[in-house]
Amino acid sequence: MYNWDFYTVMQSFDLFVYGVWTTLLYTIGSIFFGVIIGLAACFARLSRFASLRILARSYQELFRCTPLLVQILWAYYALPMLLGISISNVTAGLLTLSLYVGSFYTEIFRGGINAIDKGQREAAAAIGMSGALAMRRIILPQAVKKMLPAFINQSVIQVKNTSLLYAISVAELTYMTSVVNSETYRPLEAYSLAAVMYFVMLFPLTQVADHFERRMRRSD
Amino acid sequence: MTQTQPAISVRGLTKNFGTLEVLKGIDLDLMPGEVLGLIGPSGSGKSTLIRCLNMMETPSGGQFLFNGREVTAKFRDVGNKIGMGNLRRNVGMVFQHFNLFPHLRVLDNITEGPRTVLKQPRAEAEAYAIDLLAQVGLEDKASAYPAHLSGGQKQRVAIARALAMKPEVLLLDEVTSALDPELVGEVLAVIRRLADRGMTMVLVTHEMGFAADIASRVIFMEQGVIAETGSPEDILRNPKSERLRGFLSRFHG
Repeated sequence: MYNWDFYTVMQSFDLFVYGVWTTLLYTIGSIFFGVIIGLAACFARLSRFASLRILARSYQELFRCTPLLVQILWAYYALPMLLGISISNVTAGLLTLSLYVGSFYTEIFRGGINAIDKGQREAAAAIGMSGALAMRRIILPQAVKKMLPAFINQSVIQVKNTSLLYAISVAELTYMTSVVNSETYRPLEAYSLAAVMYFVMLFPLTQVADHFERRMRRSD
Repeated sequence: MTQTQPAISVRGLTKNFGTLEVLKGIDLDLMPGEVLGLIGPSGSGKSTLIRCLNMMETPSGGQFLFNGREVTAKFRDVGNKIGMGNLRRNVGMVFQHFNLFPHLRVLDNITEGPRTVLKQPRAEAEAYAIDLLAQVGLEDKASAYPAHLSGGQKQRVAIARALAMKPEVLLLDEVTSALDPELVGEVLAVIRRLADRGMTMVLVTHEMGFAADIASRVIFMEQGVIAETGSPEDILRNPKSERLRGFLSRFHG
């Protein structure tokens, strides 16, 4: 029978807290930049200029069709060789996570906007609104509601994806857990605790997503 | 300026969708106060024509004047040419499927244009919106969302929304075609009152009796051209061409 000993692991609780904090920072930071990138790429894909559409599409497919871990390693180890500058693990991590999630957000935003009936755009135009005004006042407010469940889902995945930064020694929760493990030789307790901490962070978010999805179905 | 200048004047207007020629040279003058009924079989181009009149569709060729000023396909005015934004402020449109803004209450649907496009203060826009709602008989629905209205109520709100811009011309594109038969009357009654008050209108309709009743002139379109034009009496009671007779016979049964 295995002798559970959380006490030893708990003595390093501050390391877990630090890991959770770092994980949250990378999540929030990459979601923030991801939204900006996603919006820009989304409007590029909806643009009437073919070059912008192709550029945005290429970016999207590049990041959606390669594994995030490879992207992280590439940005940290390969990109500096290419550019001849050193890139910190913080920069490489935040950059890759933002671009990665941005490519998925692009698709979510685009889908939400395209799901709005074209009659809405016409009705806005018919009262003299410009395309930009119609987008801001009529299309986006409706599209955001449609996007919300998918957006939250992707953001939940993003929290978990920060764990891949372990590979470039960013002090997020998974990395810090490995530190605790190497100090205490208690992998079962350490990684179980890490899993619980991820769960506690994410479970409320999934509930919020479900709530919005239910509410959306009701108004349809 | 004389009273005789047309509000809308088009000459040789054409519209192609790819290789499909939908309008093959339309000449049309719409005088202030005139109520013009557009009838014709589906595919005749009548909906495309009415949609060209507020640049919802950009004509492929021909001349298009609004109050004597050339219309440009740019949003803003260019020199003396009137832009699409300015044109649409003066030429309102009501759609077959209402296209109300579902995220806005009825009152906000109506004030959206005046407030964001005409930059009217909220109080002024709302006072006029309430006045318009009373005119279409829906003053008690001001704070309802469109989803809670019947089709007829939605269309009356859509008319009020278009009128809130104080347009010179109102385009009505098959506004009763998506309604249950028992709801058509309430919408037609609103349009009739507008006609009585001298509103300049173009209506694409399948309601022949109604067209005969309120139109000052009826145009029969077929295959992208104006096949016959005249008073409702001429067109609907004494059709000259075989095709118009055939078309009308399907409505009289």
